[in-house]
Amino acid sequence: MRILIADDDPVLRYALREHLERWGYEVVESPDGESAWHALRETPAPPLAIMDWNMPGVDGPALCQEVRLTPALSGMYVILLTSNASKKDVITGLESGADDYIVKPFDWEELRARVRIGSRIVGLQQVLGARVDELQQALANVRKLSGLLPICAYCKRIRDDQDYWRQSPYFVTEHSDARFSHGILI
Amino acid sequence: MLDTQGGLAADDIVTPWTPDRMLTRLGGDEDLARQLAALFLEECPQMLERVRQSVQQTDPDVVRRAAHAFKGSVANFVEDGPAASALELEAMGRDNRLSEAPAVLERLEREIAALLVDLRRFAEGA
Repeated sequence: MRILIADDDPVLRYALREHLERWGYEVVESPDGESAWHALRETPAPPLAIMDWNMPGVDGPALCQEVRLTPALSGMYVILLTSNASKKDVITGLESGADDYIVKPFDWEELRARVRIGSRIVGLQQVLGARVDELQQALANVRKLSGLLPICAYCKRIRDDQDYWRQSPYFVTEHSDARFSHGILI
Repeated sequence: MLDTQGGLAADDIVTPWTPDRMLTRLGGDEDLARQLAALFLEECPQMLERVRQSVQQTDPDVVRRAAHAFKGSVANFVEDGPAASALELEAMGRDNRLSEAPAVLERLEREIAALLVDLRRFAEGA
């Protein structure tokens, strides 16, 4: 999984990269808010970001707000990593759209555990997103067959939108993924 | 100006820097600690220069930002001393009371000079 690190401190960025790579993540680095925003607009965007609060250009909370306003980034998991430790800052940071908030100086094992949580949530969201896509496709197929179908009481043909009486199996296969295997009842 | 050899009033600083706390935080990874020290030695002059210029410009918000950034980087190595001085400068910028800023900057420069001496020794494997 790719993780964006956005922090203007080169020493911390280096330490973060070293640790995240050892933990098996791929890292993208940004030294300021603007380059972080460009990195987030890449396709595919890194699904997890660790952002500092105070950065040149765009700050962390402003970036979080942009992320939340961007539909393509709706599944992104954002961790704010900052020395702003007051309760007011924590609330402001989380309300800007961050999923988690870690105060510097932090413990590396704690960061690892929190990144793992983020990674798990991203994974679950991706599975959920794929399942929603499947269900929407299935729903679209069901809609094709929903409603009142005019059917001949004698020959069982169905009248289509062009007023043409179609044999039922053809009508059903054209409007759904269903397929018929023909047999004879003895 | 900062004496990059660390000679600038470095004797003023009572407590020398040791890598113990940093190594504990890094799980005893001495190689990484030395790499971080080397990187800080490289980046420190520019960051400190930004703080210096901000104090000269007497723009409180510029002082706050420059001091905050520098404090963050210094705090990778030490919690008090120069990190505390940078924090003090940051607060002066935030509260728009820069009259004492040159004196705090002077103290910060001395503390950093001493820290750099210790970090250089550590980064070189001494």
